[in-house]
Amino acid sequence: MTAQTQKTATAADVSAAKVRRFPRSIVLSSLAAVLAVCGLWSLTRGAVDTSARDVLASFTDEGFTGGQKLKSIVVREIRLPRLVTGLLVGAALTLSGSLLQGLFRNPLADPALIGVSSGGAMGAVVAIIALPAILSNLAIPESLAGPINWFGLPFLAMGGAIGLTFIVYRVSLVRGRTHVPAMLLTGIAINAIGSAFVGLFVTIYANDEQLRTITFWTLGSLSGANWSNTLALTAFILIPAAFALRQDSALNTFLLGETEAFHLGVNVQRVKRAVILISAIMVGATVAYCGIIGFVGLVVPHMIRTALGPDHRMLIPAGALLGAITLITADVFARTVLSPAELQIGILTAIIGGPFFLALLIRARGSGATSLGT
Amino acid sequence: MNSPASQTGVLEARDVTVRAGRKVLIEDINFTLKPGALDVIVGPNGAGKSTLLKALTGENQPDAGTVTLDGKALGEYNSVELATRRACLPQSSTLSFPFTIREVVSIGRHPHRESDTATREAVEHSLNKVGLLSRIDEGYLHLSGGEKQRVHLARILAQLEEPEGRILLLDEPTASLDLTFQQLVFSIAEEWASSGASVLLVLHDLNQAMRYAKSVTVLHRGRVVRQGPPSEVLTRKLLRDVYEVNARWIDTDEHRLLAVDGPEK
Amino acid sequence: MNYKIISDNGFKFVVAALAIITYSAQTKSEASESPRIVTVGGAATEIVFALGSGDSVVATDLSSIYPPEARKLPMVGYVRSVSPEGILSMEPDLVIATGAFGPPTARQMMERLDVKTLWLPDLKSPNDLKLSITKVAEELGDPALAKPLIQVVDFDLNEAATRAEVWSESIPSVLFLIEPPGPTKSGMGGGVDSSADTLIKLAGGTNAVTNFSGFKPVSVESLVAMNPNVILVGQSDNHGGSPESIQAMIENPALAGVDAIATGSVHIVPLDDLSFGPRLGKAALRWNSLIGEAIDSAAE
Repeated sequence: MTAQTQKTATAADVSAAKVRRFPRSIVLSSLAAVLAVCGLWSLTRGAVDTSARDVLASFTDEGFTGGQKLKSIVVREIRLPRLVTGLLVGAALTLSGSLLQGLFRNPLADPALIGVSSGGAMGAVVAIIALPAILSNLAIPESLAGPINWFGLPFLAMGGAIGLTFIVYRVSLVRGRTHVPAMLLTGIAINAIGSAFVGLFVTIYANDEQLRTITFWTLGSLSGANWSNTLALTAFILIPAAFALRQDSALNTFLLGETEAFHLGVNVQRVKRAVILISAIMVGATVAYCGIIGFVGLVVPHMIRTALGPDHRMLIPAGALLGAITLITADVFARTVLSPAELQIGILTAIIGGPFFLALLIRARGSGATSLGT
Repeated sequence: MNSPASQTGVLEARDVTVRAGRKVLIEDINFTLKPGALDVIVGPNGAGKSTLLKALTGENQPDAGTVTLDGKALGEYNSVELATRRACLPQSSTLSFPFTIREVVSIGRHPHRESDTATREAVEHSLNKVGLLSRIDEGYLHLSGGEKQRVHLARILAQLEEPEGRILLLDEPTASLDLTFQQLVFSIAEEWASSGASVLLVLHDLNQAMRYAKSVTVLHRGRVVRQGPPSEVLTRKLLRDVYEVNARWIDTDEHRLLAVDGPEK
Repeated sequence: MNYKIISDNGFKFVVAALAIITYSAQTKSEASESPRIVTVGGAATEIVFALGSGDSVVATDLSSIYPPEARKLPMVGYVRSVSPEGILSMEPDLVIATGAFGPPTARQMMERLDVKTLWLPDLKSPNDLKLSITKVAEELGDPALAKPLIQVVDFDLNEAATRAEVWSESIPSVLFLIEPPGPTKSGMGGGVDSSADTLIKLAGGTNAVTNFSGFKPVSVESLVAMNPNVILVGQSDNHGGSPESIQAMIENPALAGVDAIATGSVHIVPLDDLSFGPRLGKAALRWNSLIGEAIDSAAE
């Protein structure tokens, strides 16, 4: 009987609706190859004129003088840490976007849009302005205050991001389902609170230098990349990223609903907490060192879903690779367009990502909002 | 893994009570589902069917009493192990991401740590059962409601892999679906029960309960009113007491059909 | 009396200028290949140009708006957000930067890189300026160049102080605004410890602001409470108070009782008076005479 059902059902539309999926191994190895090429290319691009040969020479040889010495310094001390930072930040933002979208069961959950990044920025502002003041009030010796300030920035940024993610999740979850308008409105509210909070701190406490440093959070940039920051960022991102890669199958079950995820043997509360922690830590770390870079976590997962499908076993690793490629490429433009000055990469991603987000909303409206999970 | 002897597939609720705040949702429920059984729970809206089902899946902890599988409380099971022993088909799904049919069914393989090849085989096997194998690579979102439900049936079959010693829970699986699919659900339920699975359906339609159930449990106001073979349980008196309707069964050549005369006066 | 002072001042300035011109002409003929200099920070740029090495400057930053020749050069970004690679791409032999150079990571980067960099303080006082002039002159190869330039600055500052002595009975209170307060938004004023505060004092006035430091919002009501004798509004090409917003402040009925507005002592000053470059003395004199006008008109 089942065989008959099968025949009658398929007669009408056999291949019309067939969806092509590419094998994971081929997709991931191609993306890795593109990333490698892209990374090497980015080392040759910048205000200082360098050829591929110069880049190669700066790694293989020592003891140059004059022009090649300058190029070697630029490649090794400026562009390479920046490349690594871009790679990490692009992957981290895309991973957090993918994770949060899986958790919220909604493709619009971008870390910057729903307020996670604002939480990170609030924490960062506290670290920049309040922390030094508190430490000097408590008469903490300079030798101790220095490291506290240095660690305070990423940890307060991560703390802010984690707190805000929990708030957004609590507010936008209505009877076990994400209420999308609530999620986006919470994001608006939190972004407003965030900018007011930053404004308040700036007005009351900031000196001119702090003011400039804070302006930097609102539109991110990779220009602060140097080896010590890059190494710290590597630790803060690689560890949660390794956990993120292991959540792929569990996140697939989440898309069915939390009840179904439980039936499938997923420890729902634990995965939920893990996802929130992982994504908030990664976003917080990127905000601490590079400021708020919006829309990457929205656009890149969307591109992967459109081209390769929503399966997290593909989305998570492929998204991390494509996110890295995207940010590296965007940064090359950011640092060459206005050469010898620089454009902030956050401006670039907002210019490209903003209209993309609008197009998503408009298309979702046209198709009865099914793709937005409402 | 446990020895096959301990994995017989007996799901038992003993004196189960669930409250929401001070309100009692179900009280002192005793219920046993055995291998080979095809049992049905019926009851009017608000009788506590969904609450009981949640207690039986382990999703909700009872406030009093225990739910055990093969003598061991559900809470003591490793969540992955439990997922390979019992599966639940929800009334409807809100999946809104552009998966293919294959991918949705593959999600059912989550508890099984296995190779891609093994997943592919299990997915194809269960899609063949529900008659969707040839459409395996189509987009899930474009399917009709009935077709989507069939995909989810295939998903939970893939989750359990085989009938023996497994618990299959179906929550109003035929509600508002076409006749072909209703037929398919019951034939699969019967096939699994006869192969050693313990099958439980929550149903609205008393005709279906009468036709397919080996045992019917009637819930009313959070309590079990009666339990037993459908022809003995679903009497005119019970329908009047529980559903507050005047109704009688009409026997045809093969079936008994329910005729509702009107509300009880 | 006025005439004499100005001519004396002018004389000294001409001497200094001649000395500089003669000297720079010499150095140029001696060294056939002049160093490539990148200046970051308005004061750094001005000092290098004032010392006669403007031709060697190959790039500056966005805050370097004087002299006009400096604005035609490539920009390596704003002084607070500089791109180190942008600086390197200009292949400089020498980078001269003020303490405003940032972000901090860019400064760390510059310190690690193998580029000769002269770090000046973040210029906020005449002493910062004099120190900077001396350091730059030394770096450019002739410490003697610094002296005449410093003398001009000192002369102007002394002049402003001398002229202000007659106000010692009641020192006029001065409010400096980057942005006048309007009906819809607060203005922005210079508090104690701000660069505006320092320049007001150099010009012989006293800051009307006593209760906040740095640059902070100033509302219409707090302006009434301050009741300054003089209001100076800073302005540059694209920053500072627009003529419309200044007019709106003057016509605001709530502010009619404010002394500066009642006596017509609201003036526009160039925003880069606060750069504390070699024109600091000129800025102090400009502010001094604007304050003096206010006293005269109040007396009438």
